Formats: sequence, C-alpha cells, structure tokens
Amino acid sequence: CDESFLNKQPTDSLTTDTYWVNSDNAVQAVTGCYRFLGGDDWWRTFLTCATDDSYAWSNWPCDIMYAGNGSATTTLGTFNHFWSFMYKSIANTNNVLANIGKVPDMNADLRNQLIGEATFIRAWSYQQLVGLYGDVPWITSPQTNPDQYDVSRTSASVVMDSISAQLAKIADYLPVSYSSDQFGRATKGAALALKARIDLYNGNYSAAATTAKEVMDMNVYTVDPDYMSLFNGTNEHSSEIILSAQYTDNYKSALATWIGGPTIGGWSEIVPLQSLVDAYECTDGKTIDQSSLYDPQHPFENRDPRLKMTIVVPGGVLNGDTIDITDPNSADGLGKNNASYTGYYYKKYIPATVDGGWSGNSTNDIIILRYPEVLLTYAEAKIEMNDIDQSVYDAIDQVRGRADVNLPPIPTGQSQTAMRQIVRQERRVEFAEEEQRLFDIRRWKIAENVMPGDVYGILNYWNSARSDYQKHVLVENRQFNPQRDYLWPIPQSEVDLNKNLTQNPNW
Amino acid sequence: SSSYAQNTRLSLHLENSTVGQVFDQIQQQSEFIIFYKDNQININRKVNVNTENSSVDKILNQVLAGTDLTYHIFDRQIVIGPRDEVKPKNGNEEMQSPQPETKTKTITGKVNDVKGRPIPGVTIIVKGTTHGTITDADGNFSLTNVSVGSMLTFSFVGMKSVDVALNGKTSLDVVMKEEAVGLNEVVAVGYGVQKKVDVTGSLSTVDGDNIVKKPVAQVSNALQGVAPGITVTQSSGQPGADAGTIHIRGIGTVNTDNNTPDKNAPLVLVDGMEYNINDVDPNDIASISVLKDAAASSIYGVRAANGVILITTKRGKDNQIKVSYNGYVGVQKPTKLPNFVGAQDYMKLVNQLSLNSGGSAKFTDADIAAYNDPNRNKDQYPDVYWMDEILQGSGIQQQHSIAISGGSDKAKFRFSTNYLDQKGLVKKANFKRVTVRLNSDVTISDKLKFNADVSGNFSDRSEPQGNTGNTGDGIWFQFSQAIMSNPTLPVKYSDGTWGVARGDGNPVRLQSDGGSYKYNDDVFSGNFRLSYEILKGLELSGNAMVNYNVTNNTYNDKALTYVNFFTKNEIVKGSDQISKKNYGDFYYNLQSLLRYNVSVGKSNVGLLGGISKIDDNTNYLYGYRNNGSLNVLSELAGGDPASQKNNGYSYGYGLLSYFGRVNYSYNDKYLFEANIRRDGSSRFSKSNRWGTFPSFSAGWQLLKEPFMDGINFMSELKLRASWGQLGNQELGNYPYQSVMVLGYDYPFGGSLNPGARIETAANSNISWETTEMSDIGLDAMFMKGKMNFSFDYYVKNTNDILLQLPIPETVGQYAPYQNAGSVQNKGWEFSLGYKGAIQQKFKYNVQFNISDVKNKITDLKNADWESSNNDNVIQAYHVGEPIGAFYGYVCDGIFQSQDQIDNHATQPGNVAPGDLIYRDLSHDGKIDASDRTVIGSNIPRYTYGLNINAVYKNFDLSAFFQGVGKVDVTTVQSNRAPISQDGNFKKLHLDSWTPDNTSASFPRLTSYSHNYVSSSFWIKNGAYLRLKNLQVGYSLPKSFDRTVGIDRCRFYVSGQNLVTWSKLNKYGIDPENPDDSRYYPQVKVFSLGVNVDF
Repeated sequence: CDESFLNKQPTDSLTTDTYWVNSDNAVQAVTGCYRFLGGDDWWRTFLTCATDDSYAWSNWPCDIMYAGNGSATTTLGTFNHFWSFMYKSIANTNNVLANIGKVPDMNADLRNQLIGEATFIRAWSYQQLVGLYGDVPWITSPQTNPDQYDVSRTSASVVMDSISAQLAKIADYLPVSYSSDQFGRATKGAALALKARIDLYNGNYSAAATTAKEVMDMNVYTVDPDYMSLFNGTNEHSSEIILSAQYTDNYKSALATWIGGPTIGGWSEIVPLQSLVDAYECTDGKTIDQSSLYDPQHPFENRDPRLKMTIVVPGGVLNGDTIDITDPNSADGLGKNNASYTGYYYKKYIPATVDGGWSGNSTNDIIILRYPEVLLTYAEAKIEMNDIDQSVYDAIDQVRGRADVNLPPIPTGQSQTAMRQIVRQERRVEFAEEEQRLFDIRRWKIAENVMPGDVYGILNYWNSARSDYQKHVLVENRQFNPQRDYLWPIPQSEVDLNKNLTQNPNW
Repeated sequence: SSSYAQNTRLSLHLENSTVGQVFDQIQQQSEFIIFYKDNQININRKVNVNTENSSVDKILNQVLAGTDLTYHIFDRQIVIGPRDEVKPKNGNEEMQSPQPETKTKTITGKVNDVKGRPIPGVTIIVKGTTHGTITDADGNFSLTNVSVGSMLTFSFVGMKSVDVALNGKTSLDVVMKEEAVGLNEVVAVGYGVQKKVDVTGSLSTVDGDNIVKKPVAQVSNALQGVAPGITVTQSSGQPGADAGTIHIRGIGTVNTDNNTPDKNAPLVLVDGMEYNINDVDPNDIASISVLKDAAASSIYGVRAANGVILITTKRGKDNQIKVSYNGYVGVQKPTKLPNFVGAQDYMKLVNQLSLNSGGSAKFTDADIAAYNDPNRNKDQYPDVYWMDEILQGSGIQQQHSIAISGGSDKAKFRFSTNYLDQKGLVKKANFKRVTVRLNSDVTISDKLKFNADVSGNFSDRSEPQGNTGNTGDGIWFQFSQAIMSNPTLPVKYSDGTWGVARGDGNPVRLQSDGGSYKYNDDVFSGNFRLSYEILKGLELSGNAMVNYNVTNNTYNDKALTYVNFFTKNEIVKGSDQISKKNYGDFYYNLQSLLRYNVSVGKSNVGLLGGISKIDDNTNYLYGYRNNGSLNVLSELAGGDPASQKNNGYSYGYGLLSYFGRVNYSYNDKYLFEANIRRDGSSRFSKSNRWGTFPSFSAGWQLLKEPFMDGINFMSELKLRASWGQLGNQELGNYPYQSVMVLGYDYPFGGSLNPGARIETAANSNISWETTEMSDIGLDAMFMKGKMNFSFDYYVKNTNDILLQLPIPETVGQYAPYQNAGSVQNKGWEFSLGYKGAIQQKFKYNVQFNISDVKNKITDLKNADWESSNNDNVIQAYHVGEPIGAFYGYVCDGIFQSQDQIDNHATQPGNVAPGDLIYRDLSHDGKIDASDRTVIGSNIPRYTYGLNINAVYKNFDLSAFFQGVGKVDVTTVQSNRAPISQDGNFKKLHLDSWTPDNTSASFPRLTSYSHNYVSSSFWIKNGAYLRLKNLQVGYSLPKSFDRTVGIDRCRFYVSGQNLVTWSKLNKYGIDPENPDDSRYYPQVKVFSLGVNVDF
C-alpha cells in the first residue's frame, strides 16, 4: 500500500528547520517578539496596583490585589504570569539570535538591526524580571535539550551588568529612527535609555548619568508640551516617546475596561489611592503639607496640573462626560456596581476614543520609555554621586516645566538629601500609573514605609448617611513584610519543577 | 416459528356468540393477531365454543367447521381465508403435505426432558421437507410416510433442537435439553458479529429499545448507567451542547492539553464507520456493543485504548413493509439553581465583607432600610434574582422520527428521518437537528452482496451573543453574568429602559436585542460494501466509507446603547461585528476484509484478515468584519470592508493498518481468539510511525463438561480470560515537529506586520501510548435464562503516556510531548438481571449493574506536578494518586480567637478570627506550599445503574436509576463568597463567621484570598442517586389497532432527571455538574410521546 499519505506537514506554519531561509522570515520572527512588550497589556498596566499609588479590587483578570495587600502566596497567578511571560519573550529572542545567522545572503545592516532589536527586547525582559524577582536564571541561548532546563539563579546585579553591556554594544546596530511605517521598532535611543535605567537600578550611577547624557545629546527627544496627549492615543509619535508598545484598530487592548469607570463602560479595576492624589504638589511647587495654596476644603484646586490630567476628581471631564461621584445618581459613585472603591479614577491612559467590546476597546499605545525618564535618571544618578550641578536642576526643571504643567523651577542650592527627595517626588507624579513606581519603592527601600497599613480613598464630604462621612473612604488594610516583600516569590511551580531553583527569603 | 401456537393454551366458553366475538376473545387471551378480509368471512355467524386449555388450532377448527375457510398461523399472526387463497408460506408451519416416497414407514416414539418427563407439543419435521407432526399430551408422536434414510428434527421452544437420523429405526425415544434464552443471540464485535456465547473478550451490549426509551437528544446520554464499566458525565443541559463525556473503564491517560478533544474518549463506529455518537438518531439504533477489554478492542489498534463503541443500525426485513412513528413533546426545567440572597442581605453581607477587610461600609443603613418598604421606588431600590430573569426561554422540546422499511429477499431497505427541536431555558439558546438515513441491502447473486448506507445529519445550535470579541461563550456569558450580577442591579427600569447590568451588558437584553452565535454542523456520509463468497465459508469484501463534515460557526455581536436612567448618560456596550469560521472535513476509509470460516469435526475455525486506509483532511477558513451596517445586518457583507480580516489553513491525518484475527473453538466448549493489528500513523515521525497491537483471549463453557452434568439450575457458565495491547495517539496532528507559528502579528506605524514565533518545544522521538489490559470474567445464567449474571475484573496499565510533562517556564515554550507517564486502572464490573412474570398478565425485568475503577498514576519520570485554574482549583498529577486529584491544605475548622491564631503555625495573609485553619503537615511552624496534600479525587467510583421494566396488561412502566457511590467535588468556585461587591452571595454565606456567630459554617467574609485557596474545606461528597428516567406507557388493545389498521399504538409519559438524592442539593449544586455554577444547568424533562407502527 502506498504510504505517502502518511507524510503530513502542517500548512499554517514552517518548521524551525525550514524557517530561516530569507530575510523576510527573519524580520517576521523579530516582529513576533514585539508582542511581549505590550500584548499583555492588562497585566502590565496592573503593576501600579502593587504600589501605594493604586488599588485593584478584582482578582480577575489579574490577582495582583493580593500582592498589593500582602495576602499573596507563592501560587498567586500574577507571580507566575510575569515570570512566564518574560521567559517566553526571552526564549523567542534567543531563538532569533541563535538562528538569524543561518539566513543566507542577508544585508549586514538589516541583520545587525534585527540582532539589535531582539537583544533590546531580551534586555528589557530581564530588567523586568530582576526588578520583580531579584536573582533569576540567566538564559541566553535556546534550550533544546531537557537536560538544560534546570537553570539556577544568577545574581540580579550580574544580570543587569550583562544586559547593560549588551545594550551598549547593540545601540550602534540600531538606527536613530525608522520610516513612519516602521514606527514602534527599537531605536538606538531606546537601547541607551534602557541601559541608563538598568545602570541606575543597578547602582552604577556614573554609567547611568553618562548613558542618559548620551541620549540627551542625541538631540532627538524633547519634552512634549501636552502631557495628557501622550497617553490617550492622540500624540503617539511625539518626540518625547522613545519606545511604546503599539496598538491599532485591528490590534486593540482593553485598557479602557480596566482603568475606566462605569460612565465609559469600564470596570474600575485600576484606580488611584488618596496617597497618590496627595503626592501632587501645589502650583507653587510645594507639597500640600508645605504650601499655603492647599485648601483642604478644595483639595483639587491650585495643584500640579498633572493631578487632573492623571486622575478624574469629582466634576472632572473625561472624553466629554462629566464624572461627579458626589451626585447620588452618578453611575460612578461609591458603592455603585463596577465603580471605583476609592472614589477616584485614572484619566491617564484612557483612550480619547473608546470603541469595541470590553476585551478590545483601546488603540492607544503603552509607554515603555519616554524622554523624561532619561532626564530624571540623569538627575538621580548625579544626585546619588553627589555631583549636583546646574545640569541636574535643568533636567528636573525640564520635566516640571513642560508647557501645560509649568511648575516653578527647583530652587537651587539644595542638599543631596533634599534633591534626592525632589527627584523621587518628581518621578512619582510624572510616571504615575506607568511601570516605574514598583521598581522605585523597592530600590529606594521605602516600600516598608509607604505600603503597610490602612489605605484610603476620597474624602466623603457629601453623603452623611455613610459611616465614613467627613472621613476618607477606607479601602483596605495592607501588610508588608520587609523581610519578604521587597521581592516577589519565584512561582511555586517553578521551584517545584526546577531542583536548582531556590526560593526568595521568607516565602 | 409455530412454537407459540404450540404452547398457547386458551379456555373459551362462548355460547351462541359471533365468530367476531370468538376472535376477540382469542386476541385478548393471547398475543395472536387475526387477519381476514371482511368480504370473505361472515363474522356475525353464531357459533358455540367450549374449550378448556385448548390450542388455537383446535378452536379454529371448531369455529371454521362447515365453512370453506381455512387458516394459517405465522408465529403470532393468524390468517383466515378461503382454502384456495390461504397457502402456507413457511414450510415448517404446514403439517400435512405428504411427500411421495417409495420406501416409507410410520415412525413412532416419545419425547422426554432430561428428567424423564414427557414434553407435549414438540414439533417433529422430516429434515428438508415440510412433512411433520407434533407430540401429544404424553409426549408421544406418530408420523407416517417417512423415508427410512431421513433425519428428524425435534424442536420445542426453550429446548435445544435435536436432529436424529433414523438409520432404519421406526421407534425413537428422544431426550431434549433446555436451551437458555438468548443462546443464539449475536453481538457485534470488531469487523463482524459473533454469537454471544462464543465471545471471549469483555463486552457489554445495549439494546436499541433501551436507547429510544429516554427522551434525550444526544445518544451519549442514553448510555449513562446502562452497562457496567461505562461512565457518562453530562456537564451541561444546553440544547445542542449537552452531550455526555463517555469513559470506558476509567481514565487511561493524563490529559493536560485542552486544545485536543478528550483523549480518554472511546472510538465510536456506526456500522464500522467512525462517527460522532451524537449524530445518530436513537431510533435507528438496533444495538450497541461496548468493547471494553483489550481482546475485544485490540483489532482497532491505535484508536482502541479507551475502548470501542460499535453501533449497529436497523435494517429492512424481508416481505414486510413497516412504517413506524415515534414522537414526543416535552418541556425542560432546570434541576438545580444556586440559592442567592436578595438585595437587603446582599447589602448587609457586602458591608460585613468590607468592614472585615479594613474598608468602609459600602451601603448606608438608610439604603438597607429602604428595602423594608414594599412600596419603595424600585428604580432606586431594585431586588432582582438574576438566575430566574435570564430563564426567558420556553424549554419546549420535541422529537419526531419516522422509519419505513421493507423489501424482498433480493433487496431490502430502511429509510428513517428524525427531527429534533429543543428550545432552551434561555431565549436564542436553541438546537434543531434533522437526521436522515437510508440503509439498503442488495443480493446481486447468491455469492455477491451489496450494501449501501447513506446518512446525513444537519444541526443548528444557537446562543445569544456573549462578550464582544470573545467568540463562543454566549451561553456561558448568560449564566456567569446571572451569577455575578447582584440583586441591586435592575433588569429594566419602570420606564421600560434596560438596566446596564455589569460587564458587557445586560444578559436579558442580549437575549432579545443582541446578536447570535450560530453553530451549524452538517454531516454527509456513505458506507458502501460489496462482498463476494469465493468458496463456501470464504468471503472477500471491500468497504468504502466517506464522511464529509462541514462546520460553520457565525459569531455576530451587536453594539447596544444603554441610557442611564437617572443621568441620561449614554454608553455603548459591545460592538457591531461578525466573524465566521468554516471547517470542512473530508474523511474516507477504505477497507478490504477476507474472512474464512470452517468446521472440521468438533473444531470451528474463523479467520479474518484486513487492510484499512484512513485519510482525513480539514480545511479552515475565517472571516471578520465590523461596523458598517452590522447593527442591522448579520452577514460579513454588511461590515466595513476596511475592517476585514481573514485567515485559513488546513490539517490532515492518515492511518494505514493491517489486521487479522483467528478464532478457534472445540466442541463449543473451549474457545480461543487472537487478534493483531499493525498501524502506521501520520502523527509520528517516519521512524516511530508503526506500532503493533496483539491480543489473546480464551473462554471455557463449563456447563458442557461432563462433570457439570446434572446441574440444572444453571443454563450457562462461562469463564473468560484475556490479555492484549492497545494504542492511543490523541495528541494533535503534528506533535513531533517544531514549528514557527505564524499569526503573531504586531503593528508598526499603525498597520499590522506579520509576526511569527516558537510556541511549543518539539520532541521528534515520540511514539504511541500503549495500554496493556488483562481481564478475567465470568458469565452465568440461571433458572432457564431468567437470571443472568456477569462479573469482570481487570487491570489496565497505560505506559509511555504522551505527556506534556511540565517544564520550567524559563524554557519559554509549552512543554513538548514525551512518552513519559504510566497510569494504572484496576476495576471490576458486575451485572445481575432477572426476568420474571406473575401469571401471563404481569411481566417484569430488573437489571442492575455496578462497577468500580481505581485510578493511580504509577510513573511520571519524577516530574509530579499540580495544575491550577483561575478558580483556585488545584489538581495534582502525583505518582500513587489518581489523575487530577484535588490538592490543597487540610482545613481544621475556623479560628475562633487571636490566641488560637498566635498558637497555630503562621498562616500567610491577614489572618483573623473567622478564617480557616490549615494544618501544618510539614510541622515547620508555618503554612506554606509544603503543607498541601491530596484532598480528594473527582474520578467517580462505584457507578451504578438500575433498570426496572414492567408490563401489566396494556400498561408498561420503566424506571431507571443511576448513581455514583463515591466521588469528591470541589465547591471552591460555586460556594465561595465574592471578595468584592461584584458578585452575589448565596444563602449559605448568611452563616458566615462573625464575633456574634462563632459557630458559623462558613469563614468570615473578606476581600483577601486566603480562605479561598484550595483546601479540604471546599471538598464535598459528590455521591448521588438519581431517578434518571421514569416512563409509563399505555398500548391500545390489539382489537382497536386492527380496526384502525395499525400494528401497534402506544402512548407514554416520561420524566427525565426527576429526583436526585445528593448531599449537594442543599447548595443548589447539581451532582453531575458540580464544579462550576456558571454553566447551563442540567435539565429535568417532562414529555408526552407516542409510538405507532403500521
């Protein structure tokens, strides 16, 4: 009998042996890696809920609320998710880097660019991993044999040194910019900006400052005059944005569902806490406990304009709808279904146009790197080296002085301690809801101060029937164990499967 | 045969009655049906009949005396007419047609049973003629004109026929032995049929009547509880999606991949052809054979590891055109619905939860108190039981089936069609199905025979739309929304506008205003067979089977605008979009079989050899558009062309097989069988493609041994033993190839660029899973076959299980398949039946079966693992434990005081009095992952069924009970309390721990996770007993049937899932669908039906 009909091959995919035959396939493999930057938006944007900025009330789709309030165990879905997602990214970039050399007759510049892009995505993935878990298995080539699977942990600082060095090397492989139809690919600026972040996180302040300066000196990036437009999809090609995860009409995210309130059909799963609201300075550049402009009766007036650009406060307008939770019939009010538990909503990252079902209604890009981070990295690194010159003030003032923010410049002549506080304050409000805060409170070792205890929402000054009338809404009680919670645990299943993997302390 | 006429004795005492009255009396006292033409008989003629215990022919002789009428008896039918018209059609029936013979004699003799008692009424026929007689009351007979060299055949119902050669004798004493009922029963086995008494493997048969009796839409569900060793689990009552999962003899493989169909599903063949069991019209089923052990099923090789179900459909019979109609109309009701609290309790519990978690009260006392007023403003203070609100459908279900059959001795046919229409409990959740089948048998010549069967199945299932973009969860969305929506959310406001509810909109509104998801499934199949008898006993046949299956799924979502009742703000939920998925699957199987049967002396030998080629290819096409005019149109053409997306691919599978069987029996006493199959599958690389699967079995008919002579209470005692190997290849189509998966596209500059990536690590070395099974069994019949008994014990070891052994996530790919695991199933099966009668008027039979299987993982290459889902259900895959055992902490009750917490091992999280206590199994002073253990198993044990049938006069009753003796269920999804105000509380949460309610059955309500992790607190006893079906029927009297010209007419009422005894009842959980309350519930069906035969 003719047996040839038994030789069936898949028709919708190529085998790894037949794949690496031309440069189009190589480009396609690198494109596939970009999905790891943002494809997972609903988890990425939830990271803020593990900090003192935000609160998540639901355990679905992301159970990070338990990481936020300290009740998580090592089997928490969130812990496994980030770990697994980043290692998928690493496996795919490793696959590209190991195989791209097989493609015959490929243009050398294109090959270098693709190597650069894949290396960049891998470095970013490792930066996320060490920030969340500390020491992690350092895997840089495809694991083709099960004997290679049980990799032990490499110290976080060695990982960061390695990816920093790789980024330095591939920065020159990458172009400064791409044609507009390729916007969204990693550039030289992205590689250097990420390197600066890693150096800063790793305590290599000199390298951080030098690298940040290198980006500043490229003269490619500026601080955009319009803060809000950077996040709502109306200004995605701004010269402030160094790299963002891309979304478009046929590749949408669900940001509006997680962040939005009932009025725009959202589920209020990521909402700001009072603590973040209080962090915004007054227009005089002083914090609310220092400024004479702060009026507890009108707490949202005379404040850093970024407050109302980031957060919807009562009476605020979002995409044309007025949201006033003090109106007893407001769909967004306290206690209403799917409404915020804190009484506040984020405005930042709500797309200007919400269109589609809950699982895909947003096309606005998610920022990975933008220029103010480079400026503040430069400033923080110099401050930590106690090398506080005018360029440090200039860098911070450039961020605060953005046209529509326009806060007064930092008074000169500050101490290192004062400047450290200033740059940390600036990072918190500038990058609220972005991915910085969790990494920041860990590396600054302030989580044990800012995380535990009761957390609050808005001041209830309108509903006397509620038990919290004239008090802030009590949201939950959080615990934070300094001996344990500066790192997430290695997912339990990983420790179970990989005999060479140790668990983080006290988990 | 005429044995019925011989055995039926009637007593008639009719003075001056009409002939018609006599006929009525005969029909009422017996099963005889009398046929005549009105213009040939004067039924008003008066006669006197006075008989006591007379045979029907005696009475008829008396009644017809003096007329020119005669009669003829065919089994239970009596035809009366003029002598020249009524001719005997079956030679055995005619007793007086002398054959001209030269050397003839008169033979006399006597017939006794083994105990020496005379047997009256024995038919004696000269073999090869129609000449014969019957014995008288003393067992004596006398037959004239018998040729001296001929042979006489003695037959009598319930006795084994005896042939006696005269060899010149003129006087004979004959002893007849009792024969067990069903001794000649033939059952379907792999690639053929076999006498049941000769079967050496383990198989169960189910009669078609047993299937038709239950008003279920899917045949799989009718198999529940009917035979031991077969477990059917029905987890949804949704029309069209309510098929049961069938497992034969436990779960053989560790199924960790949900992308492929159930890897533990048996192979189902309809008349030899692979078929979806649920695509068969239950009315077409003549019988079902379930092949359970390796000996019975190994001839199906690589597809047989999970057992084989052979369905034989009904075929036309000679010389009788029959038309039958079966139909019923019924209504469905949910068996169990969750017990939710109302608005006021909900608000109190939310406040309790929030305060317990360190938050503020969410509802004010004034809001809660507002509900005390029945005349409150219901727009402001609604109180909704969502689970009832979504049940907007009628639940009306009907089925109509018509069959026409008939033929001559050269050609026979049977045509049937069935229409099923199920309206769901939810509007738009409907199912319609039409099946047609034409089976035909043609005898081209004595040696050449041809069969052509064609069938079709056309089904449409629909659901209301669900979450936009999440195609395929329409009905799940309804129930999950109903469970999550709290009672303070209104369905509609007083002005008629819809409440927005939660998530992607109001499920009740979606039923009327939303789009639909539609699943069309059309199957066309043909089964053509030509067979040629080369020599006597040697037959060659060729079989071509084709199946074309088109699945067409359409997912249409509509955007719906909701207006806030108070602020008049508008929001749009969902979006206008449509996607279509089309799968076209073409399957063909070509088969050649050569069969040879020969008897040499007392030895019978059967040989079978065959080749089979299966080629199966599927094409997939996908299209999508949104917006445009899709708010009114429901086809792709209505969408905006700029939004269109499409995709497509194909996949295939091929299997080439060689197989053979040898049967040998000696003196019908010692039975042997050997099977072998060699399969080559496209699912493995060339070097691992071929596998060989042998089996051997033997049977011993103990009663045929001389040392068993004189044992009269038994009519059969057979010992069976078997061993064999089977394969399993259910792991997707290309598991050994490492691929770059396309379709991971990503936008640059606003438009998608093609992307590809690796997904699954590959392993080119994989090969078959092999199941090795040993079985020992005993079949017995007692009391002349009235009681039957069967027992089997088996050990089933599955090795080289294709596992995606979990690998560290750091590998960044899904785990490759490896031939890694081993699983053992050990079990026993027992069945016992009794058929009895109290006089002739009350007949009954009772059939009970029970089986047990102990499942254990025996090897996982040191890679024991646990899987967990979003609902915190953790299942363990551990050596020494059952597959997927529930895994978690052991719960020791509820903490009552801070002191108690301080003295206990440290538990993670914000532990307070009212939280669950977890046992410190590792004795290290803290509760962590090392304290988890196996806390239960969801593999049912002691599954049983009890079937009771009774007939009294024209009434019949059947009751079918089914149950599971031991199974664990986890209620962590269905019984846990919400951790926020999104979701509703159940009544059991009212008994949550508070400082004032310390003897609570439920822990304190919090927004923390620690009470809802997997623990023994949530594991409950899932054992149940269910009255699955109860049916009462009434058949019209035969005299009535005759006057309206029909053969039979029966009406019945039937109830499905009527009563359930289970500890889960109090939670509103159905024991057949216990783990998740977000699925369409099981249904009770009350129906009214009719069976008519013409």
